[in-house]
Order: sequence, then structure tokens, then C-alpha cells
Amino acid sequence: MLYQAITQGESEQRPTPANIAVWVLIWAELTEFALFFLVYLVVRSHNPELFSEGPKHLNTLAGALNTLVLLTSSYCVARAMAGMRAGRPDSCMKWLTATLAMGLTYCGIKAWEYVWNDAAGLDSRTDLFYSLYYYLTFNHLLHVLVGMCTITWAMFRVQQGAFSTESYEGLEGAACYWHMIDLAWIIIFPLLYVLR
Amino acid sequence: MERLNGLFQMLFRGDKGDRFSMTERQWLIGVWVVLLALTLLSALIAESADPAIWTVLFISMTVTLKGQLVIDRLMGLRHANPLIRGLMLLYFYVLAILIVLALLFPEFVARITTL
Repeated sequence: MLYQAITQGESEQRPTPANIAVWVLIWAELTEFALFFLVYLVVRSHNPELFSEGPKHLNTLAGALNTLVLLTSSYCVARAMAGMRAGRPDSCMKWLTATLAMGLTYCGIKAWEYVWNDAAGLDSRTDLFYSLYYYLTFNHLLHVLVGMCTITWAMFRVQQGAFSTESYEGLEGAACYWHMIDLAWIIIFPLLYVLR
Repeated sequence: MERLNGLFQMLFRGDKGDRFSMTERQWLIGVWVVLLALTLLSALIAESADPAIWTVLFISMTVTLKGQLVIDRLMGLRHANPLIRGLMLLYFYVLAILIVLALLFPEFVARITTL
């Protein structure tokens, strides 16, 4: 039944969010992350003991909290889009503000995690696992910061009244970029914190 | 059972036109709750379960499921251009398979990646 529900979707096609430039950018970013994931998997295959031991010393609570925060931020962006589609820019603004707050929370938790690692004597030169851990997580953090700038820009444009129920492609672009950041973390979390 | 069926319908089928018809707000909340539950379950497994084949398979499935929910429901690609949606979904299917291969057959991966 579940399989049928997934595969037998409605055939009605609706407009694709954002524009082709945004999707090229998203694919470029996801490709960059995919290369990191491949490097991680290959290095892990050559050093199974190291990569089995590494996650045990990480702060799983911080990783799980950040996953919850990012998923919630994606939900907030989706609500912002729904608000704009419904012709309620005030609602859109409220949910974009919540998204930005989630982004700030993510940064705060990540800072706590790095301080926690430092206190435990873990840094990027500890071993190969931690080198890749810092490479992946810091790169992702930079993407979150870029995403927060994008959401701030979208809020500014909403405030200006630049979007309407008929025209909100720029807002969709910002939303899709933010979802991409969430998608990358959906893979990073199990790779670094869960799979041992 | 009927409620469970309704949840599956909501998440994977459609958001209107059936007996479980829900507003956009309601199904967004439903997707969000499922995503949070899958994450908490993964974290619980990370803290309590010993590494095993079933944990690798289960975690890879949750990654794919979470990716599909975000792509289809939060990004809104469920009914969008099939090429763009297909490429996004393919990313998660392929990576999940590679994760399973690398974790269950590390010697094989190490052998084919040794220069």
C-alpha cells in the first residue's frame, strides 16, 4: 500500500518552484556535498576502526538538535511560501523570521558543539575522521550563513512588497536554497553521528 | 489502521480530493512531525543500538524517506517538472545505496579504490 501510494501520484503537473538558474545552483551545491560524501565513504572503507570509533566521541545531542532545528526551519520556509501563495505577506514575514531564528539557533548549537569538542581535546588534526567531520560540518555551516543572508534578502523584499500571490519567484528561489541546506544535513547527520 | 492509512495517503499521495482531504497547513505539520520522529528514532539508535546490518539499512531508508518528504512536500516538487524532481530524488536514492555498500562491504570498496 505504501509503495502504491508513493508510485501512483497524481499525473497533474504544476509549475516548478523558482527558475532554472536556481536549480543549477542547487545541483552544483549538492554535487559539491556529494563529492565530500564520496570521499568520506572511501576513506571510511580504508579506515573502518577509526570511523567506527570517531562518532562515539561526538556530541550526538548537538547533532540531533541541529537536525531538528533545520527540519523545523524547512517547515517554517514552507509555511512562509504557503502564506505568500494565500496572499498573506504578514504571515510570510512571520515564518521567514522564524526561519532566520532557526538558522541562528543552528549556528549557536554548532558553536557549542565545537567548544565541546575543543574541551574534549578533539580538533581537525586529531585523525582522519575528525578532519572530515570538520571539513563537512564547517562547509555546511558556511552554507547556512549564506542561506540566512538569502532569507534576510527575501524578508527585505517581502517588506518592500516586491512579491504577490501571482509573482514570488525570488522568494521561491530563497526557499529552495534553504531546503537544499536541510537536504545536505539530512545525509551529514547519519554519516557523522549515527552510523558507527 | 484507518488513521495510519490516512497518514500514508497524506504524506505520499495527495493533499486534496480524497476522504482524508487536508489543508496545506495540516499536511505541512504532518510532514514536519514525521521528519522529527524519524530524526529522534535515528538519534536513539545511534545512542543505544550496536552496529548491525539492520541499523545500516534502517538509517539509509530513513535518509531516503526524509529526503523524499522534504523534496516532495516542503520544496513542493511533488507535481513539478519530472526531470527536476527525478534528479533530486535520484540524489538520495544513489547516496543511500552508496552508504549501504560502503558500510556493509568496506573491503570491496577499499579494494576498488586502492591505487
